[in-house]
Amino acid sequence: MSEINIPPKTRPEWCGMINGKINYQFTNYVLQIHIHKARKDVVSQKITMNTAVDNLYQLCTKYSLAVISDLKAVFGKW
Amino acid sequence: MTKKLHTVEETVKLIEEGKLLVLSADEHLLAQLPKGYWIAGTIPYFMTENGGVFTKKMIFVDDISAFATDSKIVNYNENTISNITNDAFGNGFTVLILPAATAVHEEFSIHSINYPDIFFKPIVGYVAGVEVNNITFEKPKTFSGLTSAADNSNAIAMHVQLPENYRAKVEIFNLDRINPNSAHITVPKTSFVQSECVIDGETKNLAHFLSEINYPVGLPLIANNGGALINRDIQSIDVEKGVVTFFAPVFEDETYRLAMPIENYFEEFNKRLIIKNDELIHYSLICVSYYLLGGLEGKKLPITGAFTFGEIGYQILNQTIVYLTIKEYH
Repeated sequence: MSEINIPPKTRPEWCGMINGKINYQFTNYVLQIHIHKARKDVVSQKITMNTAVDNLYQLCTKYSLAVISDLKAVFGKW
Repeated sequence: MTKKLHTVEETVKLIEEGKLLVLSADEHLLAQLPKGYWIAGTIPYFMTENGGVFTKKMIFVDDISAFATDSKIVNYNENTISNITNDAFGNGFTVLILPAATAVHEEFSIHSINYPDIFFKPIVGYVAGVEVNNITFEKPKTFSGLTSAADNSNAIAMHVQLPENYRAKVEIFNLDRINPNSAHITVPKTSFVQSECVIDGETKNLAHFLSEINYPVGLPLIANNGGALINRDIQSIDVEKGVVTFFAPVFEDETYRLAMPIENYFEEFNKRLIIKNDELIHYSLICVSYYLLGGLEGKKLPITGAFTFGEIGYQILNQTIVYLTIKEYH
């Protein structure tokens, strides 16, 4: 199965979604609650920003078809 | 796929065909079923293709066999429920049924969002209940098809594996909306029971506050989780003792708001509940609060399912519709 291509993990927008600098709300329920929790976990230092970005990237990879329009809204082109 | 009421005989036939089934019905019906690949919870309220109905004579059957390449049924108690995500298939989904007001219900309610890989393992399901008039003396139960025995303390789950090119996705619909003029409410400790809290920066008693503003019966508190509106349904307000009891835990690291009143639930559902044409709903359920508050007996919604006493979409939800879709990824 070929997965849809999502923006590379090096793009700063991934961090931006976690630290709240990009305040985009995903239309997809699991991404909404995941990012909400990730933000809290980074602030409370339960996880590092790198781990948070890794987890978000992996989740978006798994649900690439469902989140592609959200990613286009955040990242534009890649 | 089947998502409708069946007689016991019709359900037995489906079980004998080897279908993977999630069943919801009165206990005496479920107790008649033979062993097979099914799990069940006690529920007597349903949204059918003909409208909302209360019945203890029929079984609501959700056939979740489509696309499944493997499955397993596992029961959990409060000490083992945290294994649910580890037990789930790498690509698939899990349907979980919890008996209301039990230790496993409480444990899952408080901790599920911290279970390993929770967001990668779609979990849907519900909290089993009974006819509301019988709540003080009848216990909700779960059933495992492996034993066809009733259980009033353990949760039951069916883990389903999907082919690699399919994805299960959980979505929710919340009819309630945050009142933009609402106070901001935080609590000092995660619990189903709250008293002192902070309201717009001031320490107050939550029960007294809700009483003073005449907060309408049936309206929840709402937390905005990244755009997902997560309700906390109020079970009771004891003004004398200064205690508010909820149907799910209110979390210390969330901010809650009050909800906008809803004049006509059925009209609001018809206006706002839109299921997209390309969303093939594999499994769905609806909070019993909507049936009761909304007077949905005999009225049709564009989604069917059991009316449940708590919904599960990775976590316990209240007064929410939860649905699972399955889509092929090319």
